[in-house]
Amino acid sequence: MNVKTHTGSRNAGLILSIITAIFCGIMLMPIIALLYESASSFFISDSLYSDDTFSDLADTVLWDYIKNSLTIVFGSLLFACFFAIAPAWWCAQYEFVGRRYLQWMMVFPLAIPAYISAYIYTDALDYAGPIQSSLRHLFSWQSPSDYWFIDIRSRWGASLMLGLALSPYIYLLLRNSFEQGSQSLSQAAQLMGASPRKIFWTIHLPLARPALAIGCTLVAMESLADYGTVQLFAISTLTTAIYDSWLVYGSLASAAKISCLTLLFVILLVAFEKNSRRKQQHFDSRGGKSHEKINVSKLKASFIWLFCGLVFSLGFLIPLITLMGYCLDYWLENINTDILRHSQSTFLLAVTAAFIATLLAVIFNSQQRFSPSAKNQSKLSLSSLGYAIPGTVLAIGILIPLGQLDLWINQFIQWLGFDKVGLILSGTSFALILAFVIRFSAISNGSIQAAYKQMPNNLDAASTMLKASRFKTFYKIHLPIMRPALMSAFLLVFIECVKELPASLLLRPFDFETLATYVYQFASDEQLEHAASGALLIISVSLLPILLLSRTQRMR
Amino acid sequence: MNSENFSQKKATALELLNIQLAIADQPILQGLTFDLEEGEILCLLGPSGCGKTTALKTIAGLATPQQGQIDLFGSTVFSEIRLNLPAEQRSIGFIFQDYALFPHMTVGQNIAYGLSFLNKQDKQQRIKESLELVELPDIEHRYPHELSGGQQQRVAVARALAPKPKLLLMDEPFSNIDGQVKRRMMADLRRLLKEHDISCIFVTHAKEEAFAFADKTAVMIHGKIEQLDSPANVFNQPKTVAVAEFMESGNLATLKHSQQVLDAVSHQWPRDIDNSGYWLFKPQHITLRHSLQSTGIELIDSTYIGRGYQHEIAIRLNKSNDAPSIIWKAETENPIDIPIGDNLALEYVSEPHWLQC
Repeated sequence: MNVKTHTGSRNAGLILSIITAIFCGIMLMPIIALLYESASSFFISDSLYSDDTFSDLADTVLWDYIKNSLTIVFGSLLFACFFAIAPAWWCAQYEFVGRRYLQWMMVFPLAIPAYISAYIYTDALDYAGPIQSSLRHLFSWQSPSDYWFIDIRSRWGASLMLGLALSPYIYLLLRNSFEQGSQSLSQAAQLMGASPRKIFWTIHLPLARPALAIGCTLVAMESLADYGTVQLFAISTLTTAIYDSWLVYGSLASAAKISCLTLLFVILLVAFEKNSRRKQQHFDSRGGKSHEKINVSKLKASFIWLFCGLVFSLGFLIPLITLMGYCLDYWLENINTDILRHSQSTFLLAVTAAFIATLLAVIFNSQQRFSPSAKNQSKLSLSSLGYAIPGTVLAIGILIPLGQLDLWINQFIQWLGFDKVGLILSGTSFALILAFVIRFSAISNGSIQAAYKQMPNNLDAASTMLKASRFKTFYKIHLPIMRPALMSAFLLVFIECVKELPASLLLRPFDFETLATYVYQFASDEQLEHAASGALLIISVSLLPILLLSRTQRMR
Repeated sequence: MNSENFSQKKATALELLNIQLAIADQPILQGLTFDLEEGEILCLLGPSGCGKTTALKTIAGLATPQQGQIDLFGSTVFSEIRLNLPAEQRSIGFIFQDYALFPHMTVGQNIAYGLSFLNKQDKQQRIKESLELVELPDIEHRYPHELSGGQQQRVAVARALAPKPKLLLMDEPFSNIDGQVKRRMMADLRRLLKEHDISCIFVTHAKEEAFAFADKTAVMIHGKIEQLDSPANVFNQPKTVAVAEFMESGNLATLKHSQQVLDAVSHQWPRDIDNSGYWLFKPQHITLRHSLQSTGIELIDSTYIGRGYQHEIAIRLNKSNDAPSIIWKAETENPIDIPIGDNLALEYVSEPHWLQC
């Protein structure tokens, strides 16, 4: 429709429109690059592309890699569900001593990266470790052939580690869903003569099914994307294959092909998740008064504490105490300038990425708010695409175009008669920041989007009726109201950047470490003891959102 | 943009001409046409989904129609697609159903938001005046969430009136306030508008609000105005069946049914009406008598409704026992001593109102 508006706001709108379009292009770039790289090596067989790494892989071990990846995804799901479903139900439904603490303790394992637990349990369950040693001492066994002992360095061991670290996703979503279930529904069922057991299976669980499905997809995506744990356990999966193709065999083309294969699984998971979310919206509209919690007997409460305490200890307490022990035992190695230096550079990197991601989220969402259209909505969805792409895949997808750009830039500069500038895009922090922004924009978008959803549209209309321009409405109404959301968007992206491992490993510039890669290097050299303070730093940063979340929920 | 443009002192404050608006091919406003005199309070009354809020937003400039023309105090603010003055330049006050008070600003800051054309001193003065106008002088520094629903509504009024708009639009302004408070607020606000000669359009689905607040009522059904008249006339002399049904004006009978009813009801009116159309029988003008014979008219229910008693009556449309019947309502001041299920004889003690088809 041809409508007269201020020229100023129209220009601003045009600029915003261009910015968002460019970013959407950047968002899609890695995926297009991966597809292009994979496809072109099929057709072009000149020296640059003639490598047989992928066909070798496909002929020999690729199926094993896929099998390993899928086994680990499946195993992690099983373990995560086992650790999460019952505690979610208990904390949502029952009242018992210390429930208020327990319900947050169950989230803490999220703060321990799976590869750190993996290292610690390998160490503890090792032949020379404390457990086997004392068993040998107790039963006077002489050698490994005298007894059988669990091998943690296996696919199931990796699944257990990932399941422990990721179970809070399922726990949180399910607990919320159980708590929102309206009391009148279960009361209606009760009045029609249903037993508590029947109510759980026929009312609560079906209503919570979409939440469970979303939680499971998150766990599946994270475990599919995992690099640290499986590499530490020397299990070859799709992610380690991508990593090795590039860093060991130097074949970008086969890395791209395995990445595309991995993306195929991701697409299936995303489709499943989208479908579940749609259903959840449907179920969420049920409304009604929320539950009063049921008091349980001391016996039952003790059992709940026993089970949840075990999960908490395995997933959080034991790794934490072990790390603290390492720190004390090797305090000299743990206090050094390296950690300080890497913390600083990680901090700077994460702040930059978080700032950009938050800014972009505000631009994308306010654009959709002021001129809602299908085009802007699809831009918004596109800008959130990166969360689904595993870090390793994304890193390869970024390396391909940036490497090409670097090549062109250098050729151009030489043509101008200057010296080569080197890898100014793919070899600097730029690549890493780009990866972080693409991967974690979904988080900042989600936060800002939720804030806008809660802001009634009438506030905008009221502002307009009081003669305010769009800019004034944005500056005076939107920004102040969504300040908490801005903070949490920034913080959450910051934390994810600090924790991120696989993309950082692949994209970090020469002689540059983030806190996560620093700690991981030590772990893979079997020397985590010497970097325990770094690990503790990552864990304390990761605990921040959990503490914030628990505070806001308590206020509610 | 400034009030000079509109100060040509015309008798008409607002004129809507054939406004057409569709959202996703769904017609919402279908040739909306009406005008509003200066200082007049008009109620847009209609069932939910009839497009009355969209009409209000169209006038405000918050929704853009596909066709039509809108004149505001003699100046055209919207004309087809050639001219569309942005909402912020129309100098219209708007009160939202949820009040839309800015939650992060104090009452004073809320009111000051639309006063950026004033200097600091005048602004402060205007805030004070506005709050005195709505009889809430001491709440300038409080936040909206600290106020009751009624106080919030008053602040919304103060905020909308502070820039001195010549036209005030209100979207279901009383729907979140109940009972006693509502009646007083309506009376207060009406006096305020009249004192300051502010033209006003307000939207509601409750006819009682239209009766108490409006000078004129426009009944809107399916995106069109069915009837625009004084509230009493709309209620007592509805022009169409849709209006009569929405206003619950009384019992309707088609000519075909009327013949039957005429036979059944004792009548004191000319029987030779041969137009096609409907008759409207007011419940309070029907008198009931107990009949021991079978009259085909049966008492179904009697309920106490405060100002008297309401009775439901089934009138069989022909003599046979299983014939379909129509349901009428009658009202009496005192209870009637007739058992439910017994036969009645009806008498209509007034002229029925005639509706064109």
